[in-house]
Amino acid sequence: MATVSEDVLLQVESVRCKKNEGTLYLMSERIAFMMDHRDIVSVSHPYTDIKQQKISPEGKAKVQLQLVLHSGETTTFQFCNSKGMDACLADRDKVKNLLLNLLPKFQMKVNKELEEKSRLLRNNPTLMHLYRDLVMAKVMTADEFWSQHSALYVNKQNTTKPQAIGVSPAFLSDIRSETDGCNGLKYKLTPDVIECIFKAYPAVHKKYMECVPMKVSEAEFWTKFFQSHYFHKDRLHPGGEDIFVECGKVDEQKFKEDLAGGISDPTVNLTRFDDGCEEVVEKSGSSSDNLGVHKELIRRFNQHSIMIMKANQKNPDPEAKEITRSEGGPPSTNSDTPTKLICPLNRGINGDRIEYPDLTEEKKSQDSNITFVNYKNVLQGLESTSASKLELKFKNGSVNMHQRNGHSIKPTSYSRKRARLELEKWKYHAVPATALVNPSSAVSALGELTPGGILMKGLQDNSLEQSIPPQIEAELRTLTRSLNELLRHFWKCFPPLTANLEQKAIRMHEALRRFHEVKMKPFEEQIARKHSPLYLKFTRHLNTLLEVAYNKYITWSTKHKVG
Amino acid sequence: MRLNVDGLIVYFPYEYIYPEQYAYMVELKKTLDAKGHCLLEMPSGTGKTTSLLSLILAYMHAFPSQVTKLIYCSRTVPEIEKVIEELRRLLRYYETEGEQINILGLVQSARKNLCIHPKVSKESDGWIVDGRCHSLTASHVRERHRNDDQVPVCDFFEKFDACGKEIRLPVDVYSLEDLKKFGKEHGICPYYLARYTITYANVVVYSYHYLLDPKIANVVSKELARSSVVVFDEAHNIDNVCIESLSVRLNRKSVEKATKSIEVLENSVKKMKEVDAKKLKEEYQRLVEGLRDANAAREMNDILSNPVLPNEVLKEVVPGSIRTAEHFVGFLKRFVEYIKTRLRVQYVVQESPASFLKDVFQKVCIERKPLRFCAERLASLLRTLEISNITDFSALTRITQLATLVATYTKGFTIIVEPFDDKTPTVSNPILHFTCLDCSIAIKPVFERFQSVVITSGTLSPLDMYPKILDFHPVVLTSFTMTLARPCLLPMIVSKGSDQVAISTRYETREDISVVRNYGQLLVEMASIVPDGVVCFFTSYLYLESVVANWYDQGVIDNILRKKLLFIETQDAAETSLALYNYMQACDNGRGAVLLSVARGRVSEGIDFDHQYGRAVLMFGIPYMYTQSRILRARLEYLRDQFQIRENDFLTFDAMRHAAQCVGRCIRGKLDYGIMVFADKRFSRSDKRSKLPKWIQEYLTDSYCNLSTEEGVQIAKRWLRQMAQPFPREEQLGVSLMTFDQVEKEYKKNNPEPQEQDEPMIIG
Repeated sequence: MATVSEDVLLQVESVRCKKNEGTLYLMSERIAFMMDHRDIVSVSHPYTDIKQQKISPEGKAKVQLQLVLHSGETTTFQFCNSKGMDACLADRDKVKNLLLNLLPKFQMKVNKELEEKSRLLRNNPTLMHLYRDLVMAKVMTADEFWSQHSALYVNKQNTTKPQAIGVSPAFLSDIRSETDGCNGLKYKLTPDVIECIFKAYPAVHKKYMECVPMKVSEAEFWTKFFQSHYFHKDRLHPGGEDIFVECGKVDEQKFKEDLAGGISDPTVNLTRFDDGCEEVVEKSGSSSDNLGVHKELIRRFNQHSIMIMKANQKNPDPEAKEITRSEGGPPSTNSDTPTKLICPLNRGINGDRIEYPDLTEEKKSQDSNITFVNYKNVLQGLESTSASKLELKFKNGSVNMHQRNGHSIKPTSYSRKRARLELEKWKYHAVPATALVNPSSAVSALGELTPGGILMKGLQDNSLEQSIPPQIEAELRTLTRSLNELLRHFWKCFPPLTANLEQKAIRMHEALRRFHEVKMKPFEEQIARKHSPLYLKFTRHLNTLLEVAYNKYITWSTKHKVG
Repeated sequence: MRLNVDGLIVYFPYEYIYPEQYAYMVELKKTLDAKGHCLLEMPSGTGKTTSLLSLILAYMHAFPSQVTKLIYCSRTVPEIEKVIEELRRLLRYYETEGEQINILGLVQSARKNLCIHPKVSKESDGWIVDGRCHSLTASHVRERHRNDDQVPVCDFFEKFDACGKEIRLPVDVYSLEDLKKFGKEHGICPYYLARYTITYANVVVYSYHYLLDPKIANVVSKELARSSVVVFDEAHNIDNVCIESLSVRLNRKSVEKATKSIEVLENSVKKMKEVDAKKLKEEYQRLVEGLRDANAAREMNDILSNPVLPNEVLKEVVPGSIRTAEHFVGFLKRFVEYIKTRLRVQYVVQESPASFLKDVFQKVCIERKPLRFCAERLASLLRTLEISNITDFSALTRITQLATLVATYTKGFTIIVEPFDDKTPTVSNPILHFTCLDCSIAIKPVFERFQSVVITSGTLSPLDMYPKILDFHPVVLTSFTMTLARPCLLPMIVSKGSDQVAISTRYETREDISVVRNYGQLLVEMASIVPDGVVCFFTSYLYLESVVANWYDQGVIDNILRKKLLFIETQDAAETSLALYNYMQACDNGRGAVLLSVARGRVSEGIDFDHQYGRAVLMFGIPYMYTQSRILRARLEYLRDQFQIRENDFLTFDAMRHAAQCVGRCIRGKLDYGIMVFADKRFSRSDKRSKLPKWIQEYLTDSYCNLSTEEGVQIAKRWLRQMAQPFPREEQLGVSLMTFDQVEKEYKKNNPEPQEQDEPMIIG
């Protein structure tokens, strides 16, 4: 019995569940129900699955306790103690109270897990799509999904910090304005855009911290933002009551500081280009404050771009910083603070830099190239036997890789450096591979295959591909991705050497079938109905993939049965 | 490798050589042999500098009596530094080959780049540094210092003056930093050390101005030996440099300043008369003697002649009317007053120097002769009066220069007085332009003085124009093309937008909304297919501004920003530098950026957009000069009358050399690659196309002319894919790159019998 190892916290007899009478066990981790005279637990719910419990109102004929699960299912237990109503109530209250104590403990755990999962889904749109396609469409259960298919994402989540989103140069122009129907404009702001604004314009961030929500509401703040010169770059003199006037001034001040600071890179510093032989240049009275509209606009563009560049410099990858520090080398471009412009561009004038690298003899580097023992394996995919051989060859690299993956060993800067050096040296060293095409002929072939090339004459097919509606394209894409995920797992089971793999193969086959039914067919019907049946050819490839998988399965299963 | 160039052993500091480099050296050798001048056009990025240095140094090494010095002139400070690094590399190579060559090479630059004085060097403006340096090193200041320790002087200069001439720079190559380091170690002023050293150094690298600007050439370069070779690198703009160095512009402010300076002069003269009348008398004596010395020196051919110090001045006596200091100050006063009245005009006046002189004589009774002595006389007076801060007198100095020039040259100059700026016709802002029309005047002494002058650049086409306007007779006149193993440049002429509307910056259509939109679309399309940096050149700042404003309204800017960051050149140099710096960074980190810039602007003349910094250059329109300018009109007239150059020919020549200069920025080597888009319908006409440099024309086939935006983008796409492929050396070898053996073979093919008798002489 499964309950052997678990403590039974409470045992209540004569409980009915699904018209069967039996015993209710409350154990340390789950609640279970066993029918009388049977050995099998017919109902068993881990506490983690239980969302809440409900009890029947007092005075009702039946004394019941209902468990609502996260999945939405419910299980109802009826207490029918032969000693009468009060005893029933007492039984139930005992269960209820115990559950009341137990559930919150587990709920916390559950919540954490759930939160983690939903966060994962939120952060990985591809995973989200997969989830939608596979779980919500009931191709597989959620558990299976999380245990099998999300590994890639979960691992990634653990090993690397989420990458900070860069600032797109067009983040302001991507805010589309819409008329709201009554002579006004509506702007849509997403958290991403807001983050971008804050990153690129620290002054606005500061203002936001100061004003919201004490002085103005958030909505009001952004309304004013859109009215300010930040958004309308061609506005010369924003109104005096505008809260962003100050921000503009702060930015202007910063810009001027940068200008005054000058540029240390001599190759781009135009002010130092002239050899100072000209006479005193009379400074024309145009101070930078009274520029024309156009000049102001141009300056704003420059400012905007420079601030975006700065925003990227500000949050350098902490790891990158660590590396540069530990090496004691020159600071890299990223981790350099913007005030310290120490000629980070690799075009500084020094004797070591060769103007014409093609005129000098190449330095014979003494790095060890990877030589594949059997390059066919590389081209056709690794089999388990050759994989180990390859592993040996990679030795240095792979050791470091392990260190990276293993959480117990903290990667030292040394090993990281080694790994990086190793990677720099890596070069695809093709074994005299006759099978591979050399780059130039590949390009010329590609050229002929692009519109205008010789091979593309009289070919009308490509027009269809180009006319595919973006919505269908997107759908097709997610469909392909989901199917590939399933197929990957399916093919992984082959050859099914262990019983586990066999079972998995069967399961995956079913999942494929289900996927075919639930997802593929409706999609095909939809495009055939709504658009043109011509588009059906786009799913042809997916169908072929499925067919191949089915065939494989059929041959295997027949063999298996025979065997 | 050791090359045999026409019998001369040349040490070339690389293992391989481009065929055009070899050809270049052959031509250069011919020039040096003939002791003549030459004009060589070689594509940018094919190693001009290295070839020049290798050959000339080898020549100096082999024939030490014939060529003693190399004067290398370049335009900007970074370029000058680059030359010095190339030289260093070459000399290191000589060392590794075990060859003894004693070459002292150094950079000469302005004080602001060389000053190591703890306070003065902190100043950022060149003229302030000059002024402050002068106030610490002038002879009378130092004299006062000897009596009174409180008077500050520059220790570095004192040390230089005490023993600078004994401390010789050890034989080596000195960049600006090296000079400063040496100066700091020995406590010597690097600026004066360099100025002293260039008289005996073997290789001098400096800016054009030191040779072409009479004010500076007189101070720095006058004692350079005749047996020098002068190289003008990046010389496509040399005519404008010449003209500017002899032109004077005066406005109301400078005249006012000059008036104030005269007051100062007057007071000082008065004071001096009270204190030390004898000194003034001596001064006059000295002036006469000084001129006599200069005359003697010039007759002995010792120094570079100075256009501002004409021969007549040397031979004649200083006229009596300006002999004494008081008379001279009064004379100046009258002349400045006269200029003031000339500035009080309501309409544009243009006249020749002759009529100007006549008018001067009628109005204020100043004759031509004393005017001619003006500049020299003032310099002498300033020396005597011990006025240390010369910068205060810059306006007055300019006026005296004007006086001397106007009295000396009746031809080749013109005077234009404009009452207002063309852009702001309502604001009165009178300017007197005294403009040099003939660029040969300033460069004439250089051609006459030095045995070989090499004028070279990536863009000198059409070649026959330069000898005409610079008035010299080159012995060699060649344009080299670029041998390429793969077509690493893609020039194309886009003449219409996707909507088939012709695009052009013709005056009539340039503000046309559809033209502006098509330009925008072209840029957006290019920005979306070209990796990293894209540079655009507009014909003028004004046009750039109006186009950007239009693009902002049309949403083109937003579309560009979706692909890349946007940076724009402005008229403010510091602001542009900041933008450029960030542009380069954006290219470095892979984000990519678009730079909008202006032809003839600072960016187009000085910044290289090699590799990722410029994968595509778009030239929006033909960068004609502003043809309404009266100065240009006068110059065109002069060119027509004197050299039989038609206006249109010159305008097109000038526009095309600037266009070529702009697009050439993106190719800086054979491993580099870049797209050159000429976006104007007029480029496809043969009179424009044929004026492009040969190395660009070669790749601009008919199928790349007259394209629409779409076609251009298709071609660029395919080409970019091709360029992205690995480019192993093996493909280059024999085509665009030669090994030693291949060069030898080439040489043997051209010279079937190597001249044996030459060999011992060379090695000896």
